[in-house]
Amino acid sequence: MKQVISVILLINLIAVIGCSDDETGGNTPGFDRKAMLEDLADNVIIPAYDTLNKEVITLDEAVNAFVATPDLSNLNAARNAFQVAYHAWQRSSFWEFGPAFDVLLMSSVNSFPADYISIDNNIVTGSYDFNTISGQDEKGFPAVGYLLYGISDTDQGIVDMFTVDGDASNRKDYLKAVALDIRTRVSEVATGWSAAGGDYKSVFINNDGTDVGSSVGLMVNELNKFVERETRDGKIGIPLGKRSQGIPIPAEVEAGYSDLSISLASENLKALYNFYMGIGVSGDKVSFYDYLTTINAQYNGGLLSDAIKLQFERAMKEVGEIPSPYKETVEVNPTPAEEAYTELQKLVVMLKADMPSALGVLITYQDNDGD
Amino acid sequence: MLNGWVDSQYLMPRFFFSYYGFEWIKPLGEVGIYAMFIVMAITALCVMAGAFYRVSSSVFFLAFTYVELIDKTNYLNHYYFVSLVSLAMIFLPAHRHFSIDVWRKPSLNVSKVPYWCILVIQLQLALVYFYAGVAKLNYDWLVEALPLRMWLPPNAHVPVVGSLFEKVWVAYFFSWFGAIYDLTIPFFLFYKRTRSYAYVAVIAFHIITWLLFPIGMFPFIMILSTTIFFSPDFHQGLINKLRVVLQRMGIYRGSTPKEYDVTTASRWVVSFFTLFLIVQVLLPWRFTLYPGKLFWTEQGFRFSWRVMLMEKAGYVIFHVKDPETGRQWEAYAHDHLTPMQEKQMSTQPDMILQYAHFLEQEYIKQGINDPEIRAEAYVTLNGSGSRLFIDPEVDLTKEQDGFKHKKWILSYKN
Repeated sequence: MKQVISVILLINLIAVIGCSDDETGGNTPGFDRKAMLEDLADNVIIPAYDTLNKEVITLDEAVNAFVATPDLSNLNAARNAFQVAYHAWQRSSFWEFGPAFDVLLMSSVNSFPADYISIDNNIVTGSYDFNTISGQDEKGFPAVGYLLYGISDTDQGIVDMFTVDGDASNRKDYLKAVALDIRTRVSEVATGWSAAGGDYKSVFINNDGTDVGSSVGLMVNELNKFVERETRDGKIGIPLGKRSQGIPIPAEVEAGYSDLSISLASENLKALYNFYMGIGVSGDKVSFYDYLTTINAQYNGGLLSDAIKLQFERAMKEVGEIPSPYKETVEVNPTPAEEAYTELQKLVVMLKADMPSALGVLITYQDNDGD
Repeated sequence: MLNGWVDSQYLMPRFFFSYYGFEWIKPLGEVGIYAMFIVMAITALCVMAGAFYRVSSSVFFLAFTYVELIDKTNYLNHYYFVSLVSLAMIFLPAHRHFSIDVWRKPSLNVSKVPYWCILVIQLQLALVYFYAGVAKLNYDWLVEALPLRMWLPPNAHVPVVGSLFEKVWVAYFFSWFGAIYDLTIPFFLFYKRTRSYAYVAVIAFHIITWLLFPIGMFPFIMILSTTIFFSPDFHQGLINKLRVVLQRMGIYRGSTPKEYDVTTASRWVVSFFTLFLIVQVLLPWRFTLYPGKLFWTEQGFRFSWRVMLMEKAGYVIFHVKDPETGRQWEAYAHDHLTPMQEKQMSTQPDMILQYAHFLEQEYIKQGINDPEIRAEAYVTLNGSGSRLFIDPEVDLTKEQDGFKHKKWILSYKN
């Protein structure tokens, strides 16, 4: 009896496999995750950190030159270095795992808006600790931006704050300390990835599964969390009043003193797109776009990989069209920002629901006993 | 408990998704919840050793079920299974032989129990398997090999057999084998001549699923529970070996068992088990009372042995409006929920409604008298691509939870 049942079941099974083998030709196309990780490390991530490292060294030097000789020319040089470094940060801010996680890079160098009251107070008292959680919005790029753009209405007034002001000496020390803190932490992360340093690159490449702690798992979870909370909320939505009962908060914009908000947001989104596509120093290599294409992930009749690419492009276009300065836009002309927000919202849904689901990446940060 | 699991599941959340009808079950706070787990551990040991059996089995059932009922985020079929079996065991004479209770009171010792005592557990296990198999009889599972076609390829890095997981036929094989296994294994276990083969299959099946999927304790619970199908001689053999060990250690005191006194099984107990099994047979079919696609709406999904059946993920945007000022803004899951809660809520309508009601209370506390809350939710089922899940026009603060069909769940569009 048992044999008869087994034979019947086996025949059924063969029949089903035989007739429902569809367009994939019997194989889920294989995808070499390790090769993707190598490409991402060599083509995108490590070059981005190296550039950032170079630019924050330049910033530190420019800040020191300005502090040594505070004049308009050195102020402009420091501001230029600040702009270049802040843009470089936008291209390397969304991998908060490994070395970046160890030094709390994101919250250390870009907790905005700067807490200018505490910064002023730190300068007056001359005592501060850059290793506390509460001090994170008293340093980093936002603090540099405040000190180079926001402490007076005129450029000469800013220079005066570093020369004739009663706290000029303390202010110089503070600016130097902030620039050095950025430099030190970025340097640790760049060294942490390099083969000569911590060689996190090897760890990253060899961790080629898709579980929560794998490199793919880390990147996917960081990507969707970043686009949701930093790009959509932090850079665009929160100033727009999306989280404050509909009341805009201009003071919440990123880089409000230097009015770089939209330029930085665009740079960030472009970098996220390049990361997703695998575009880096050696051109277009393998990344998540290729991964999703290879496994034939679907999105309502088309390919998920193309849907995400298209959504990135729409979001980049809308964000780019937001008028600057953003801190004024949110109150006088919010419509372009609303449109950009809507496109970012659609991108978040794809990155947080569709992409992890298609890749078999668990989105929780803990073991799931689950069924 | 040690890896911070109690903390993340029962202490960290600011809001708990209670079960409908069990809203009165509240978390106990740090001391309480840890005490509850300690009570569970102690009573579980007592049940195992047959010590103060009726009390310890009752307390275990209550403690375990209480913790389970705190938050439906943590719903797992095998927790439900543990609750059911521990409820049944309160009424079974599992302590009347080779137990501490017998050692304390030798007159309790019996050598036999009526067959229904074993049968109840066997039937319960058979129902778990059988319904898990019935649940697999759907188009996606059988014809598309979904979601296994999505879940297997990430295992391609497993040594030796890894590359097999990228083959589509393997996904079909697993899907069909899983369905056939679940549907037939209870019968092979009941039938004496196939039992030992069936048990080998049980071990192999559960070990494979344990290796491939993050399903925690479930495989081991099933592997050990299934020994209930073995003959009395098998279990007696184990007891005899253990008895020898205890005698050598000098802590065993024998007493002569009498045959079980059948009259002690009250009509109430028999009626209880009859009802218990009828409910178990009927409950998984309640989904037929709701319109729409079960995997999409999840109305009548829980408590039905639907295990590892679908790949579902979602994202919810809560649109909040204060009608007094006309202002609109947004709220998100991560404002108040843990990642685990967020993941579960995003795909389950009853939880989306509960969270909307929680948000309503939060805004009322902040001085907004009558907030309107609408959910723009997107869900992707078995990798089909995310689509609108909840009617975004419906003000969820005006909707009530309950067993009635939730009209504001949009129908699944292909």
